Amino acid sequence: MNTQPDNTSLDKATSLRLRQLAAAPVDTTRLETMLQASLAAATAPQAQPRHRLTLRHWMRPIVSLAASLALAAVIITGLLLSGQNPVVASPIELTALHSQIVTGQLPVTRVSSMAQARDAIARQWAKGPELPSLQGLEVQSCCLTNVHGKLVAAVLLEVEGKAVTLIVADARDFVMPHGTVVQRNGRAIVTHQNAGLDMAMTRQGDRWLCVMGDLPVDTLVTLAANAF
Amino acid sequence: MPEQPLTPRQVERFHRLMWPWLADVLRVARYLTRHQADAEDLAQETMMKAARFIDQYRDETNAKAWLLTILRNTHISRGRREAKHAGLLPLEAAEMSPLAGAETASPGSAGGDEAWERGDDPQALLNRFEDQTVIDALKALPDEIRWTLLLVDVESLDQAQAAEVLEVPLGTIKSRAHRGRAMLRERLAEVARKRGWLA
Repeated sequence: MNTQPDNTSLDKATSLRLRQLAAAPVDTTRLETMLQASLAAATAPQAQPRHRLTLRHWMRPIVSLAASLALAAVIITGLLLSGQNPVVASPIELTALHSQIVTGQLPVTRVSSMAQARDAIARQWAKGPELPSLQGLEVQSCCLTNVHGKLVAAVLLEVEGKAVTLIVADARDFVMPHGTVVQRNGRAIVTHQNAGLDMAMTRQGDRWLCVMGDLPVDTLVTLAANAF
Repeated sequence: MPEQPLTPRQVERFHRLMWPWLADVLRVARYLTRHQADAEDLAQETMMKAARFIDQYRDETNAKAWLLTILRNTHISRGRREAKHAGLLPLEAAEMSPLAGAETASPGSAGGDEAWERGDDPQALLNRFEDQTVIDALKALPDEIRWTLLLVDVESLDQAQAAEVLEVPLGTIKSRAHRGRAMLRERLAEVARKRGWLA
């Protein structure tokens, strides 16, 4: 029979020391890139057999290089086109972007707060508009991409258990399409629906933003109105 | 046979429920493998399995415990595959054999705890060790003991959840945790003596 107490002070001290290991930061950057690539391949209509999805060591530089090149292409395209005329913020293209982000088809940076998302975007797009400081929302990831050749920052949020995408861009780059205009907090919010997805767009100063997701349009309008 | 493509709903659910635990999965994978690249491979395989089986996940289940169960099974499968490939005994089988003494060693049998008890403040002494030294000591423990400490102490699962992940009775978790901590202290005591921290 074991007569020793199962929770001695030494055990507690050891347990506490082990618990401290969980506080050390873990760099998931490379794993996130690998996973996004695997998820994108696994969601494609003709998914490859699993053994082809396993990224062995020799593939890592290729994946990293591909991710870097993709990001560089996005930024260069955005910069080249940023001086040109504004484009219509097409609900169809915005819906496609939301779908790509939610289904993991775009490489994203994992973040847990809007402040982290702001920092991550600012590192890649120093002259871009600042992300809004939405409070109390669960923030999951962010990325820099382009819509119709215009650079945009996208943030994936979880609101009421649903995936919501917030897109922020330079207001000079986008013209809002005609839609239903709602006044909220003295701000004009334009709403649209495409493929069953509602979206709310607005602008203030140099910022244009759009919030979209499978939520009641009134919730999206409120989010957009409070996003400055 | 090719696997079915993941549906947008599955990917969305995976992102919402499982992705937040990515760092935890990678951390545990690092404590099970020798190299960062191996840990990333193991974590990636675990997460992709989670995505494929996301429909089997029930919302009331602890997501982290669910992922760690997949991680453990994946780790064991990999060990078996590699051992078979190399014509060796599976790692966990070797470590759990009576010859290894993992389940029969009595805690503090090498006098480690007596040394710790002579010290003024065991917590302060334990805190003097840098993380890597503690991790090295943890990695040197037998697999099932290491898993128990990883789940209960490092990852803060409650003992009942750890018992479910490891598929053993609660009492086994309690005894393994107690024995594992003592084994860890013994290994750290050796380092402490070399550094002159313990007599």
